[in-house]
Amino acid sequence: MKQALVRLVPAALLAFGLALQAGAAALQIDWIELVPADQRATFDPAPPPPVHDYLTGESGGLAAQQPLDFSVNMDLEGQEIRIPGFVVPLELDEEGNVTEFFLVPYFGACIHVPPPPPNQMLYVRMKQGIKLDSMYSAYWITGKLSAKTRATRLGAAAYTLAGIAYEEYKF
Amino acid sequence: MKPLVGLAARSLWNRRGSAALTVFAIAISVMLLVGVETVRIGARESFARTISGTDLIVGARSGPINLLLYSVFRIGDATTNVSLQSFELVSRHPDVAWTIPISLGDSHRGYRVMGTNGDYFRHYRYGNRQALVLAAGSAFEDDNEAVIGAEVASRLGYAIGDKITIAHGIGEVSFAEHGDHPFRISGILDPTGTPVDRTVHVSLDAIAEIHEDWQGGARSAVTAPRHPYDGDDPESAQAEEVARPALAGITAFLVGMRSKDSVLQMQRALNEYRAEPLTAVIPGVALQQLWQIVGVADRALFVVATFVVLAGLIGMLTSILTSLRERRREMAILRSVGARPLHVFALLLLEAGLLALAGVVLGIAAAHTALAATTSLLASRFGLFMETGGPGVYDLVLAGAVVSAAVLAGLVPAWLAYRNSLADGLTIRT
Repeated sequence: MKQALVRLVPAALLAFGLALQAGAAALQIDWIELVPADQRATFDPAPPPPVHDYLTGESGGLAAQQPLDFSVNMDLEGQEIRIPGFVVPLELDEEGNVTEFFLVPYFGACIHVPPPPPNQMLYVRMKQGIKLDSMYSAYWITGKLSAKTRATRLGAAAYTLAGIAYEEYKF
Repeated sequence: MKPLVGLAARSLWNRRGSAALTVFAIAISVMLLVGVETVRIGARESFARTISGTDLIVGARSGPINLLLYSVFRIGDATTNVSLQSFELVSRHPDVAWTIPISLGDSHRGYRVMGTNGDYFRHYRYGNRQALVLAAGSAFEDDNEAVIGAEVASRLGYAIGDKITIAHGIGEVSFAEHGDHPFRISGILDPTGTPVDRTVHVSLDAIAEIHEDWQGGARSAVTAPRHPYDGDDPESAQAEEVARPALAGITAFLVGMRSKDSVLQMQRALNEYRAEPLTAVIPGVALQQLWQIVGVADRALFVVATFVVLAGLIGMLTSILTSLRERRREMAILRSVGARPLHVFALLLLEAGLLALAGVVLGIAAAHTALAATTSLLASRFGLFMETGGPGVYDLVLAGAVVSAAVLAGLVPAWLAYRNSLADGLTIRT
């Protein structure tokens, strides 16, 4: 019994250490780092005038249109990152926890202003949903990032994050 | 320890009148607490379960919560209709995977009737992206068929092939039946635990047809009997086919995007659409907004319920304290047969614990019985589909908290009795 314990304790300690290391391995990044390095100097978050209407496809429309020339930072592909942001819930599980959401750098990304450019938002999926108390609270999200280009009318490149852990952001 | 429990129980039984009142007071307060908490959690789960896999809900310009409530939960009413042009514009959009039209406003014996099309059965998801499953029959194929939810079928005893008529308006009864257009039940859906169970589904064309003669706000007698299914001569039936009634608009529609990346852009584009004032909401966001509003009332109710439990426990404390003086003789007898002051202390604590335990058990049982009895009322009035699985882990937590609080409160009389029995010993000085 005692021997088993002696052997178990270092194993547990090792596992704990590894878990800590896994946490530490996540690269903490800032939102600007999602913009490719060569574009950061000229990055202008103010959207240029719309090229054509997103809904009707006609040109000269007034509706919001994402500029098409934003690209993603491929250096981050496959990396485990940790980033703070606001949660825009998309899908809830049966207990009401948020399992799919957009992580955006500022609150209100969904209503008052045009949505953030594609390289300034993350589509996050988490197995263990977030118990979201308030959409005004910010969260640290840790997860594995994948950067992809998708063919939509937006021609938007986009990030997907396989969420691993979350933690409320404290000021 | 064990003989002490028996002693405490028998001592309480000796004073069963006042003990029962104390238990009753605790039971009522616990019933309130458990009721409030069960409804709160049940409401959340019920709402979260109802819609899944839908990226946007689009309706006429109104608030996001209002739109969510009337389109998905069938609570409240739409401000106005959405034009078919807008619906088709979105349906044809290259980034859109599917759309589901929803047309509300009629009912069948208190159950809402929803006009939609086959895409509803293909694309609508609830719970954890579960699709609707037909328990019997098939989806409607023409304008004279209806698919009913599980509760409609079981409550009204309908089977495949039964004929039903639809009433104008959404009351429990209506004095304006669409009697000229009966529907044959073609399918019955599996239970979902969502408002779908309480819905009668028909095709959009059927909604248009039954309202054809209602353009003046009530049924017109002049144009009424000229539908092909009324058995007119074939020639006029043919003419009817040509002049098919056009649908003026739909109440709302659900949108699924090909890729989540374009959800926000589509929402923005719809909200800014100049040709028609529309509101597009992400269901998850609207639900979260709803929680944030309801959450305040939730918390207030929880606080009130907690204070009622506290009042119940204080009532218990009062009754034990007042009994102490009368029971000095009882304590003296106990001491004379060998009980130590510590035993007296434990006895009083046990008494408090037993009273609270009885109250908690009674309260939880009463709360769940009451909830089980009101499930269908909650579903019909508020669109809340409570899981009536009986007491759960959370009830145990609440029970534990109340009993611990009671034992803690019991420390006061226990300490007093302990001191008295030390001072009194075997003789009582009064």
